[in-house]
Amino acid sequence: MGARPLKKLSTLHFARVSIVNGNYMLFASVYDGDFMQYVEDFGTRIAKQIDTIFGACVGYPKAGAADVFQFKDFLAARQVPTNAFGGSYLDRSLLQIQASLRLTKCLGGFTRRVGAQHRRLVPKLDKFLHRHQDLLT
Amino acid sequence: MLELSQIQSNILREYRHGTAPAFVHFIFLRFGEAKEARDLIKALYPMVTSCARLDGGVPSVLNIGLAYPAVELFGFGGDARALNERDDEATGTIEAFKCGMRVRAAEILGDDDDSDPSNWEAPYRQGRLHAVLCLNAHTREKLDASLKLVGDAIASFPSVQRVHDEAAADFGGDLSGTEHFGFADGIAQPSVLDSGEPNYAGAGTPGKRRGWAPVKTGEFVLGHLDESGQVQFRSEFFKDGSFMVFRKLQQHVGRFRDYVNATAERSGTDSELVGAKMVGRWKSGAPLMLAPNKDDPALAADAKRNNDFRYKDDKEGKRCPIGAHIRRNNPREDPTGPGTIQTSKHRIIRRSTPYGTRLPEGASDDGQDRGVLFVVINADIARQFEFVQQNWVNSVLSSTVLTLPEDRDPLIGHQRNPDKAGKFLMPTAKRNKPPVIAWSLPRFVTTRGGEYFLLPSLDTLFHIGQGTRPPSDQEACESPAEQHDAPSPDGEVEATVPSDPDPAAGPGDGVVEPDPPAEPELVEPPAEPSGPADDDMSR
Ligand code: HEM
Repeated sequence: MGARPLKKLSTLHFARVSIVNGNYMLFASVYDGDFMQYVEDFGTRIAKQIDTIFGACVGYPKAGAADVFQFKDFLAARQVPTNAFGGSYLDRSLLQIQASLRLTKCLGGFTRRVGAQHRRLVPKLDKFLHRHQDLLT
Repeated sequence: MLELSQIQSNILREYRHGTAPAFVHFIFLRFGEAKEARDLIKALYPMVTSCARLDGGVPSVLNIGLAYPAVELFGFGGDARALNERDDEATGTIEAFKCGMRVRAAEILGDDDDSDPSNWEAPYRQGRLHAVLCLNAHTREKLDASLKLVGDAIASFPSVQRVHDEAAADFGGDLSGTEHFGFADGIAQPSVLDSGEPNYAGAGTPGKRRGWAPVKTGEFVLGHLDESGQVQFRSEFFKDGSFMVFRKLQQHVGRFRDYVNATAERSGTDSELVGAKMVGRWKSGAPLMLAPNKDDPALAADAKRNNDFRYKDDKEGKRCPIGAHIRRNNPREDPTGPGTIQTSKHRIIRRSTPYGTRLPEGASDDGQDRGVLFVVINADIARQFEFVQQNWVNSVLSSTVLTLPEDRDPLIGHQRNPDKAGKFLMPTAKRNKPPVIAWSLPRFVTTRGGEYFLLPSLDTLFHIGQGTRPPSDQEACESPAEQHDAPSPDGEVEATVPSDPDPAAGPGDGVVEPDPPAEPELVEPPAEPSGPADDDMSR
C-alpha cells in the first residue's frame, strides 16, 4: 500500500487495509516491539493520518489516535489474534534487516574497491567502519 | 496548588540532599487481624512525614506504603476495583498493583534466570507482603531512635508480623551520592509541577526549541492532571497518594570492572571512558553530552548545568551512545528516539540507596552481597516503571535506530545467555576511527526481590487508622469497617484528625510529636461526582 506516513514508523514491517463484507475495515500489520509502544507511535507520530484511516469506524475515540489510551483500548477491543504466523526473519527487527541489507551492499562496494590484498587495508577498513557506524547498531 | 501536608514526603522530596549521609531502613509487614493493623497505622500516623512537615525540618522521616492485600484488608478493595469501570487509564496500574511485582516479574520486568522470582530472597517470594515502613534519617542515632519507636509499636500488635528488614546507607565522605559501580546517582529527576522544588534545566519536558516545562503533577501524585490531560484516581481514597516500586537490585561490581577494563584494553581506550559511555555520565556525574572527552567535576556539581542538555545534535550517539543507560531511560527529545510526547508519559522519580559495603578500588570480587535498594515513585506503575523496564531497559528501543533485539541496557539490562548476549555500540567522533563495540555483555545486576506499594495520603492513612472512610467517598464499602473508639493499646499516641502540621514547629524536637489536636476539619473540597463524566466511554 502506498501510505507514505507509515514510513515514519521504523518498526512497521507491513500494514494492509482492506474492506471486508462491505462495511468492515480490516487493518493488518506486522511490527516490532511492544503493543503499547506501537500504539504510542501511531498516536504521537502520525495521529492525523491514522485518524483519516480509522476515523469512520464505530467507537473510534473522539480525540482520535492522539488520545493514546482511548486509542489503545479501541484497538485492543477489536483485535483478532493471529493463530499462525510465519516469516523469514522472525527474530530480526525491521531496522536491523534494513541495516544489514545496506551494510551488505556497502561492504560489497568496499571489497571491490579495496580487496583483501590492499596495502592499507586496516586504515581503510577503519575508515569504512567509521562512515557506517549507524549501520552497525 | 498541592496540599503538601497531605502528600507523603518521599513522593516529592529527596531526603538525601547535599552531602549529608542518609540512613535508610525498610520494614516489611504482614498483617493478621484487620483491627490490629488499623491500630498500628493509627499509632504510627503521628510520625508519618508529609512534604510540608519535611520542609519544616524533621529529625527523621517515616513513610508508609501499603500493598494491595492490605488495601483489601482495610475494606478499600472496592475503590480499586471501581477504577476498572470508570478510569480506563488506571486499569493498567491497578492491575499491576493488584498482582504485585512477583507476578509481573518474569513476563514484564524481564526477571529471568538468576533474577527469576523463584530465586528471590524468601521474604519477597513467600506469600505477599502487606506494608512497608520506610524510615530515613541523616544520622545513625536518629535513625535508631525512630526505629525503636516504630519497632515498639509493631511489637505491641501480636498479629502483625515483622517479616523482613532492609537497611541501606549513603557511603558518605568522598563517595557520598555514588552507587557501587562508582557513579554519582540520583542527579536527574523529573521536576514536578507545583511540587515546590526547583525546576532546573533538563529536569522537565523539553520545549519545542528551548526551555523545560515541569512534568505535570498527575504523573507522580494521584488525582491531579497528568501529561495526557487526564485526572486519574480521583476518589478520595487515592487522591494525593502515589505508587512506590521497591526493588532490591544486586550489583556484580567485580564483574563490571573486569568487563569495562577488558573492553577498554581490547579497543585501546580508557576504562573511565567505556564506563562513562555505558552510563552516559562520568563518575562525577558530568554528562557526556556536555563533557564528551573528559570528566568535569565542577560541571557535575552545578545543579543548574549538570542536566541541561538535549540529544538533538547527537543523532548518531557519538557523544552519548544511543544505548547508554541515561539516554535509554529518559530519551528526552531525542530525534532518533521515541520523541518528546511519548517520553513525557514515561518518566519516573528514582530514590535509590546503596546496601552492602563498597568494594575497594582495584579489588577483585569478594563474594559479598551489595547493590541498591531501588525505589521508584510514579502514578501509573504499568505506564511508567514497567514500561521503562520492559521497553527501554530490556528491549529494543523499537522506535529508535537502535533496534537489535539482543541489545539491552548495558548497565542493568537482563542480558540473555552468552550465545544471544547483546552488545553495546559506542560510536566515535574521532576521524576515521571505528566505533568501539562491547561484545557479549554479561549481567551486572540481579533482581533479589521487590513489591509494589501505594503511598496513601495522610488523610487516607488517618481514616484507615480510624476505621472510617475518607469524607467525600460515600459509595458502598463492601466490608464496612467496624467503628472502634478503643484507645490505642498503650494510650501513648493519640491520633488526631489531620491538620496542617506547623512547618515551623519541630526541627530538632523529639522524634514522635503527635500533631496538636485540631478542630476536626473534615471539610474537604466538595465531593467529586463519583468518577469522571463517562460519556467518552459509553460509546
Ligand atoms: C543497579 C541498578 C542501577 C544503577 C547502578 C543505576 C545507575 C544510574 C546512574 C549512575 C545514573 C546517572 C546519574 C543520574 O542521573 O542520577 C542513572 C540514571 C537513571 N537511571 Fe539508573 N541505575 C540503576 C537502575 C535503574 C533502573 C532499574 C531504572 C529504570 C527502570 C533506571 C532509570 C534511570 C533513569 C530514568 C535515570 C535518569 C536519566 C535522565 O533523566 O537523564 N535506573 N542510573
